[in-house]
Amino acid sequence: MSSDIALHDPFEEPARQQVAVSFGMWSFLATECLFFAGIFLFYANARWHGGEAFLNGAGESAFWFGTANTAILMTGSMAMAIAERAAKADIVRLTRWMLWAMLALGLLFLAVKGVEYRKDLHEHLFPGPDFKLDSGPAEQFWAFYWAVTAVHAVHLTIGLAATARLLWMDRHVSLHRHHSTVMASALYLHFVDIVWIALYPLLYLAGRQ
Amino acid sequence: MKEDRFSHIVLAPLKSWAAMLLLLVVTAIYAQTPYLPAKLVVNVVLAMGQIALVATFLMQLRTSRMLVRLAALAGLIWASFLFLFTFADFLTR
Repeated sequence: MSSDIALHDPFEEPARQQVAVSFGMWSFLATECLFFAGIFLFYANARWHGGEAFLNGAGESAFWFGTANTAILMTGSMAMAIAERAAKADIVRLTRWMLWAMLALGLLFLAVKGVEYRKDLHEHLFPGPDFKLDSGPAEQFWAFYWAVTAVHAVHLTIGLAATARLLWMDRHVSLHRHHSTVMASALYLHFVDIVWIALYPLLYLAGRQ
Repeated sequence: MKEDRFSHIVLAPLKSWAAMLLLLVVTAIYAQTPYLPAKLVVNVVLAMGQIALVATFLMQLRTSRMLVRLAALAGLIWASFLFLFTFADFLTR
């Protein structure tokens, strides 16, 4: 690693800082993994006890919205991976373009999700007295859907804020010098992508028999 | 950009992305085709394949130090205990 890397306290060597950032970020993502595991456990439990009625609820989810958003987020993840590598290699324009691509794709994901939410609400798929289906397990599926997609959207928004911060930094400092910051943001956004990949079959494919 | 640098910076993520999209198309078609067997298992296995691609190549666990790989594995192992203990109870009642 070149010696022009910006060092933060308490690190005295770029190599040590690099490992610490990577290890620290992965440790944080391990706690995120446990956070989402609790939510996924609710799904497993509700599906175990709900059977066909739970899957009937899942059959109401919007397959094409979910599939399009999965492709959008995967493409964003790819852009972020290129941005991180380009920042490390000090290729400024490629880094900048890929960060903008990640930001645009993330916002597109949220916009598609917003349209999907509107459609879901229009079809009375929000648990409560006006819920479309007369079934407890189906309502449990939709309780899971709203909770987990909202939590995921919050995570993505945080990731996009980190991307916007990198673009702001790019105007003042070299992202190559601050590569560890780019790497940490990229790891976080990849994790957000992983959560969505795990959610896609549970939310959008489970009801397709 | 030299060829090996181009390969590492642009081509490698593009290959992972193409593989992930291919798995997405396969899983979407499999789920939408009526009366195919073991849909849940197939869809979850394909999702795990996509997750493995992200973690191994895009998050670069393949070239990370063992310490970093252990931190990545920790979340997965502890989360698996959550499911193991819960379903050990359900399945043995």
